[in-house]
Amino acid sequence: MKTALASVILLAISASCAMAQDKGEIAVFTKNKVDPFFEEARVGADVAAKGLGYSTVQYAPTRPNNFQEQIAQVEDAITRKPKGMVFVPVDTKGLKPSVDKVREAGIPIVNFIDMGDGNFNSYVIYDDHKMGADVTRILAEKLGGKGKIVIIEGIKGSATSDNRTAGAQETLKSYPQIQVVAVQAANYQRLQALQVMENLMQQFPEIDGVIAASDNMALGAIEAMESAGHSGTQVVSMDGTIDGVQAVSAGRLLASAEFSGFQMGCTAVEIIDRLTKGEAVPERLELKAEMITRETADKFGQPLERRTCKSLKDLGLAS
Amino acid sequence: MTETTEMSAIRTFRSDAGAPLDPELRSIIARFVVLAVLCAGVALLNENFLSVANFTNVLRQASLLFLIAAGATLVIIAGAIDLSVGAILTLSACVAAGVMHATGSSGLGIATALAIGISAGLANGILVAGLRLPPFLVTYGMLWILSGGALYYMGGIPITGFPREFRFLGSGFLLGIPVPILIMIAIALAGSVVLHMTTVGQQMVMMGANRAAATLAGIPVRRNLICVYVASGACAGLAAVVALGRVNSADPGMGDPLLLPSIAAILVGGTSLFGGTGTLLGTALGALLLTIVLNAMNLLTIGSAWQPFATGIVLVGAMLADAFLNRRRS
Amino acid sequence: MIADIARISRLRGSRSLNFLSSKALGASVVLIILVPLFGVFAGGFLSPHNLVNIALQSSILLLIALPMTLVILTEGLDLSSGALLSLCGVVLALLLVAGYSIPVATLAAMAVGLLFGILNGFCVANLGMPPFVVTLGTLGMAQGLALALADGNAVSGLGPEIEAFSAFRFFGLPVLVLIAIAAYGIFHLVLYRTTFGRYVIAVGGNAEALRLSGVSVRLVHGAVFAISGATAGFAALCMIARTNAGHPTIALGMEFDAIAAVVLGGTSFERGNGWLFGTVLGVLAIGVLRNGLNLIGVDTSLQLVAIGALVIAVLLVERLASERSV
Repeated sequence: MKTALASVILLAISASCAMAQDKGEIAVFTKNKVDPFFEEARVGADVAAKGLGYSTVQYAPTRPNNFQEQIAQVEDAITRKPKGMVFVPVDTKGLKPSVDKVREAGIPIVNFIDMGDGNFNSYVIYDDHKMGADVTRILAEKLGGKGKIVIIEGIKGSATSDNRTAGAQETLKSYPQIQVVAVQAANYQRLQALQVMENLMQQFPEIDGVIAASDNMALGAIEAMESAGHSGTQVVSMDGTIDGVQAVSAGRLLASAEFSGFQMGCTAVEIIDRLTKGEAVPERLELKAEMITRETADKFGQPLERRTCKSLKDLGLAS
Repeated sequence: MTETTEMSAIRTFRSDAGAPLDPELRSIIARFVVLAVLCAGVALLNENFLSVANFTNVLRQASLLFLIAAGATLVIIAGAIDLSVGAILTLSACVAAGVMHATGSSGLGIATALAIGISAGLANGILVAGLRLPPFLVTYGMLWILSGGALYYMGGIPITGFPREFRFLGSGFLLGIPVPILIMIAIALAGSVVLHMTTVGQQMVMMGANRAAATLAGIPVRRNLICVYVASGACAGLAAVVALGRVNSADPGMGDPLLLPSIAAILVGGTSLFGGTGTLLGTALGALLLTIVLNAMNLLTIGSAWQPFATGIVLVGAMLADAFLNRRRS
Repeated sequence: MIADIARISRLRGSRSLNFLSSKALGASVVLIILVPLFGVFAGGFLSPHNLVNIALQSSILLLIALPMTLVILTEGLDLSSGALLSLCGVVLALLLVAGYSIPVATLAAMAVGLLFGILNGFCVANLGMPPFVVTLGTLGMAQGLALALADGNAVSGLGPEIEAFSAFRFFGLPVLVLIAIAAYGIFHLVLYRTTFGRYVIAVGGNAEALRLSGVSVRLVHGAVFAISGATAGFAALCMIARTNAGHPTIALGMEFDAIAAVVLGGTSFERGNGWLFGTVLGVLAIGVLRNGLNLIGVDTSLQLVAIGALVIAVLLVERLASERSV
């Protein structure tokens, strides 16, 4: 009991010391502390905030993707009166009442990742549908426009996963000789993707291609195939995580698409900065998803500590 | 000597006089029958199910579930419970991955995983047996502490890519058999020998059946409880090694989804939550049964949303069957 | 008075027991220490706005923890209540989307909860299956059904009535807090002022005596689970009002928070000893801890460690206190 209390007090003191900075703080909300994508986003937001003279406080539900906890964290963060909030909502629709509260308190709030309703000042997004369509085209061309493929979805029903899958399916319409033999969800988890792939290989001995809605799942599927001694299947995925880019360089993964949490975090914080200065910002900012292939892989996947933020100006999105 | 007479007294008390077979043996046979019926059913629906490759597959997937459930089975037989196994796996895997990344040594990685598993088990054991705190809540509190610790240690980024010889334990083959299956068989055999053929094993069963009587009979209840918790932690640490070798990546969410299936595997395997009865072979069959249900759902491309539902049905179904069987006998 | 009624039916109801060691020692200590601490270190912690926040965040947990107290008093355990709350939320949301009114949809959700509760109660009371296993099984079933019904997605677009409902305030108190207070009142009356309540208290400590006096112990056991299920169905309405959508996994793991709250509140797993108001304190202790750590900005993974350590620490302190008083 005593030690628990002592540690709580220590934490309290260390945290309150860390708060001291010039322009105030920005609260950063992510869905969980398990998926590396959100760590990229947190680091991106940190880097941008430091560059602009802010400090950050990070919030993520202790149980991954727990929506109720995120709502409580928003309410608690309002009490701290931050200069702004950047946000990956667990659920865009359900968060509306909370976002309303944030706006009522006069705090600017920017959503990065999702488009959707809600009352955010601005949205920073990638076009998931287009990403799915583009990587699928690379796969289809590699296969010469024919063969059997499987699609591994993320969380069925989540906007990101659904849009990526829909994009893939749309591209496949123009390749009638490619047959989708199975669509299975693996909830963005590597172990689940591995087991799904193991089972699918039993069901369909010949699989020419795999489209995975995230690098993490693609790598799980690749592990399954490699340990079964199964070669020749081409895999494409999305996200451009450090792991994913390495796999592309090594030729294990055919292609991935850049979905940079780091840059989204940067841009979201920059928008908060502009909002606090009273500048106008666009309501929707779409970042361009570049394709990561063996030829271009060198440009991507730097370790987080070596990355730098591109400003809106660099990206050609603002003056 | 006195122990064995007490033991048989409890046995006679628990099984009715007219039963032709030992109840544990009967429960195992019943599970084999269910397994066979299930396999036949799935095989009729899907021709790929009965292939050797698919069976290897199922066994390999079941082995991870078994490893994490094996030690916990002993805990339950001894009359306590361990809810922290999933979290122990997570923390062991994460720290072991960190150590291997820093040193490149597989041996150190394995040692770390086992050491963390054993220490966590020891902590559970001391709190439950030494300080006599309720096992459910202690191990539940540990679950939070360990998984919070893993989240903090990892800082949001998974660690991937381990030495080849380390991965052998999770994804290698020996004489054409996947290594995890061999590990499962070894643990099942060793555990069964301890449980059924040693004094300590008999004492565990007695403690579970009747803690007060066991204490009166002079059985070192506390020491044995600490031992089963350490065994449970060690099994979770070993499971962490296998899981790491299999997926080649550690993240702080990897153990969460394993807790409920592992307890389900134990209970489906016929181990009573009240303690005093149960076998490791039963747990292995339980793990196999659950894995086959999920494998069949994948083969038949039934959505993953139904998987927890199926697990629940299997669990309640097995319990109901036992309840009715026991009722008819008594 | 109330305590006396409770004590009569208890075997170990010695009056000389230290007040704190028998009642919600854990939660009281946590609150007594944490509130001033956060008041000093966490800016805005004691502001009325934040206190209402804590009450709001605790309200739904209380709705789950109250019936959980009854279940634990009868030496049971209900692991399914979180998953049931999620399932009932999805059912409720789907019905609202289909155009049914809030009362009808709520009743339907409560019916679903009741049905699962009766299933739990039947298996535990009539078939003698361990509550842990039964409710673990129904947890899986409810979670699976919720995911399948909602197709893994949030069910939203519930219409303006539910927003109006959740925005309702009385003397500055949000409707959910009022509901939680009312729910406490009802559970208090049921537990301490009715025959059924006396049976509930008696079953935990002394089931055999109750059986000998001609009371159906099975019925009491079964009814407690049924109440737990139906309350989870009602809590779904509150959850929907708070989140404006039905989420198939929203309350996953909440049963564990509820169990922790009940234990912090001084209800014992083993002897059927308990105190309903202690559960309120337990729920508040967890709410205060999470809120305060959020206000300070402590890394959320360390919050998990803090709660886990707290549960074990409270158990330890209670063990020491009870050993001293014996």
